[in-house]
Amino acid sequence: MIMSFKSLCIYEGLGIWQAAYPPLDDQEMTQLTSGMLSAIALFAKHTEGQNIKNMIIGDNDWTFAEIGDNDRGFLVLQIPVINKNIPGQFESELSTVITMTLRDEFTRRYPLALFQRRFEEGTMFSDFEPIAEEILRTYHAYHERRQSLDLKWLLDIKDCEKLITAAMDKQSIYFLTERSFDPNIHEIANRILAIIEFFYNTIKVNVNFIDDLQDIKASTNDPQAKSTVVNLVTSSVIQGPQPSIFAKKLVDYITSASDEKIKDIIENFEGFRREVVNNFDFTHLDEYSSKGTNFECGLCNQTVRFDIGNEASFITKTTHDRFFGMELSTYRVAHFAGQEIHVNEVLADQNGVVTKIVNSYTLNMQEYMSLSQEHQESQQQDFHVVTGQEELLKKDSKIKLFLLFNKVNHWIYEISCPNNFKCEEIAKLVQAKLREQELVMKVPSPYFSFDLGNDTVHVWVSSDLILCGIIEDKKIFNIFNNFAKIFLDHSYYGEEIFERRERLGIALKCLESKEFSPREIGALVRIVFDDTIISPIRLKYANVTPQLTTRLESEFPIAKSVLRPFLAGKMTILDAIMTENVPKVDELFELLDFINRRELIS
Amino acid sequence: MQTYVYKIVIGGAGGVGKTTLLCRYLTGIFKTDTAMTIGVTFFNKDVNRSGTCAKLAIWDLGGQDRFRMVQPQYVNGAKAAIIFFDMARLQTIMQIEEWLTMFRTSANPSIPVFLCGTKQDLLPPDAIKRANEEAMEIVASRGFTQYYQTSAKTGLNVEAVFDHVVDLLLAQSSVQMEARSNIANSS
Repeated sequence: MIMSFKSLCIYEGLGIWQAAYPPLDDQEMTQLTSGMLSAIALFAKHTEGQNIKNMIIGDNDWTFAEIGDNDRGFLVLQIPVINKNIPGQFESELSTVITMTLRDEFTRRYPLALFQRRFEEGTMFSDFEPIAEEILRTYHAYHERRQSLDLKWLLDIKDCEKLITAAMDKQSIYFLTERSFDPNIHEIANRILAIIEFFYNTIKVNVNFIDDLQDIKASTNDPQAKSTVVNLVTSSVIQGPQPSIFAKKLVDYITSASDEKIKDIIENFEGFRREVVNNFDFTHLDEYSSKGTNFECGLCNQTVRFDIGNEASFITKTTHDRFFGMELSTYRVAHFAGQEIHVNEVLADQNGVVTKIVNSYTLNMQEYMSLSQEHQESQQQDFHVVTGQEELLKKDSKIKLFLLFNKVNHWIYEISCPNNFKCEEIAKLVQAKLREQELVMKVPSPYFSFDLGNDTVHVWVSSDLILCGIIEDKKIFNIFNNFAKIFLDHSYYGEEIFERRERLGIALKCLESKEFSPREIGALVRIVFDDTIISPIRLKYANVTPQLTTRLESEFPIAKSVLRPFLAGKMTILDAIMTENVPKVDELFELLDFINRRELIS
Repeated sequence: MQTYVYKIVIGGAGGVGKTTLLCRYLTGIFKTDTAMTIGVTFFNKDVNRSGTCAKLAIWDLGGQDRFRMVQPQYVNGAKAAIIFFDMARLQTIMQIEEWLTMFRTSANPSIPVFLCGTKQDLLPPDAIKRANEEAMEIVASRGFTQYYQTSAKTGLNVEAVFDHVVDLLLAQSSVQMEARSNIANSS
């Protein structure tokens, strides 16, 4: 059944022109509909404070567009909804394009001043009706094409995976035909176009007809430009990108799927795609919407949304260096949960895809407000001891004791504290030593040490944070001594320190168990501050992994054990560091930087 | 055939019989729950007058107070208005001023406004006389175009009200057309 597109232009509640394609038998202007739509629009504006944009009545999608700026004139487009369960982006995009085209053409022919001073003659704008009908006819073809979308038929095209990949990557696609006059060719072109529009997820596709492959070179200035060519005569993709894994999976699925299942894919392609992505651990990053990102709060599982393009939707953003083709940043996103504020530090790429929740913590309103108050007066109160999630350092560790504490907020984080030490008392002792220093020195030293029994306690101090430890190995002490200043000088936002203090424990474990050159503290800095090390990577072209690994194994001995799982996204850098396969952390970073720098996989 | 489209707004206190009277006059009622949702019901009527067609789009504004805030916007573009009161409940006259103010403020200060007393068939002659006298006072003091006593039951003046409205509007349009034609010819 062919369903009509209808458009109606309304001014002050009266229809002033209308058009439909295919034309309706009864073209009588319906003032009843005009009145009803006008009243609904005015009612919505009055009650909601904004213009109605779109509504669905029965099987029809109604789109509204204002004409002028005084709420009196508007244009309404009615198109049938193809997918009744999930009104999709297709209808929305098509409606918007049509209403804008109609409005532009109408206001171009009838200047707004004339339109607003209209007399009550019922036929004053009827000249525009055939023009509107022609516009509707043009776009009706898109609708018909989408209605006839046949994914099963796609299998008749040889190498259709390449076509899917190209369309999803929004690449240029050429239709090669020497028989453009042949109606069958037109039919095939139309069917393929429907498929391309579907995978492009827009009606604005980059498709051109050519008679000769040489025409591609003539039509682009870039000889290296990726182009996909579909030979319409042979129904085959004769040139195109390496098929993505998703495209292959999709074709496999369609091959054996029932018509009902295929219909489900068409109706909810995004859902299907996400399911496949989640199950098979690969993705096309550029297809994720950059308009907004959802993730589940690490504390309450509530879905939290933020937009990387909207600074108001997150608290702070820390940008990291380019990481295997991904441009990762840490966003601190807050949301209200009852009387509390939950802050999630999430690692997201340039497309807004969250790769990891780095840290989640709670602030009550008072704490939240106090974050903005500088340097609170230290209060004489007991320390609150926080124990690390696991015992990172060995019992016979060369780092006998290690504490991080905040002298203002009175918490102590135990990285390592044997049973025979009372960490709270040590913290108080350190504070007392610090007060001694402050009494006798104009500028207290950022480092000092004191003896405690047979041990020497090393203390590093910043304004609020204090590190103290008993480090028996001189080499470890020397390396850490260089790093401590960096750790303490870092500007911590909110409770970011909670995440960093856990990573500090990991850094100390590495310091103890791995080989470090004395002057090289870069690896420690990265372990503690670089959030990319906890992100699994997602490769656009995962098929390069075996060749790349083989090539690098000869240059980097550790490549074999860590590179494959890392490039497959099954292991993070941090996971790799923690394995025994990586004796030298520097070497691992060197390998990763080598790949990243040369953009071997991005 | 020359065709004109006119928006006519109808107002009056709740329960005075606006819709009943309109139903008597009109065919092609478009009645959904729109009235409940957005406070207005729509009626259409085509009236032919010697080679000219007047298409009436009649907006019957709900009498309920909760829709009063949005109704001024519905009145935009109206070419004529009719305000109803119940001759059997003269307290409904009290709301006439409110409706009149809204029509003149939101549509046009010089919009033709007709006053209609309804349910005339329910009243004895002396009560009819009293109601008409009160109405005529308002018509004179507030500049109404015309007053009609009506009955949806007997059909008294039902056609006459709308005939008067249509004649007036067509006459106005004719004058406007003539003026435009003169301007076009002189230029």
